[in-house]
Amino acid sequence: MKFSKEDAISYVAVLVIVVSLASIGIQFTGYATTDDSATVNVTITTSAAINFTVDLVDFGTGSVNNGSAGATLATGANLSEADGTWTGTKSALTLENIGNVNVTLNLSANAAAQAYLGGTDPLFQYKVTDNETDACGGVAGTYANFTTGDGVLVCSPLDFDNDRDKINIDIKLYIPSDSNVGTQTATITATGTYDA
Amino acid sequence: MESKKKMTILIVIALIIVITAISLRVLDSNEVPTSIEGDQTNDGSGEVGVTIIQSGVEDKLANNPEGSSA
Repeated sequence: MKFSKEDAISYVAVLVIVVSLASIGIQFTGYATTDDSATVNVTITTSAAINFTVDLVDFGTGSVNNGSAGATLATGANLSEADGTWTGTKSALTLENIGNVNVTLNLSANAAAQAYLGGTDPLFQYKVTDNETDACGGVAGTYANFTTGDGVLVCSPLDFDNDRDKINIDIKLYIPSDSNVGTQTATITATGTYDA
Repeated sequence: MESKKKMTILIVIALIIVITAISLRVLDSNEVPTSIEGDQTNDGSGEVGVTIIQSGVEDKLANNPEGSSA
């Protein structure tokens, strides 16, 4: 029996068809999937970000009561008891770590008490407390004077976990009777740093 | 002539099936590459405002009945 060239090519084509059909069949039946694997790649970069979710304390308009040396205004307190004519209760500033890394938090202001309010022995203070339990490491929880420049370390660290990443910053002012008059505005800067 | 025709048909069928098999292999890919870039924006400032007006002048005479001065 003699094979022609056409016969040989035909046999090869049939062999290719058989192998290809077998390959397709294995994929459809899953027969050879024991070593099949899938890969999901995800790359999450470090993101350090903080945000004042409450970014304004506006004590409003008022004056020191006649005969008083000064008025004390504080967030969370009834201002009508402040030896002044300010009224209402103001909320504290709220700061949240919205990144995915713990940060070391410093607070500063663009002006300290004397430059901000003027007069005799004014006060411009902050008090950091946890809005969510255990948010702020080493939280002092007491009032301290604002400073300019690099500011003061207040949280080491401020956590990034969503259940404990929020703090309150209460503000207290003592406005002496001989203070500046008019609208006085101070900017508070929170700076978060982390080890890369 | 007849065997040449058969061979051509077989080759065409073989090519179609091979291409189908290779296509199925390529499509059977489960790799899902996903990359999340971090947001580096930072809004780290708040404001404290207070408006201070001058106290009214205290009228001490109003609390001082006429002729009570020594």
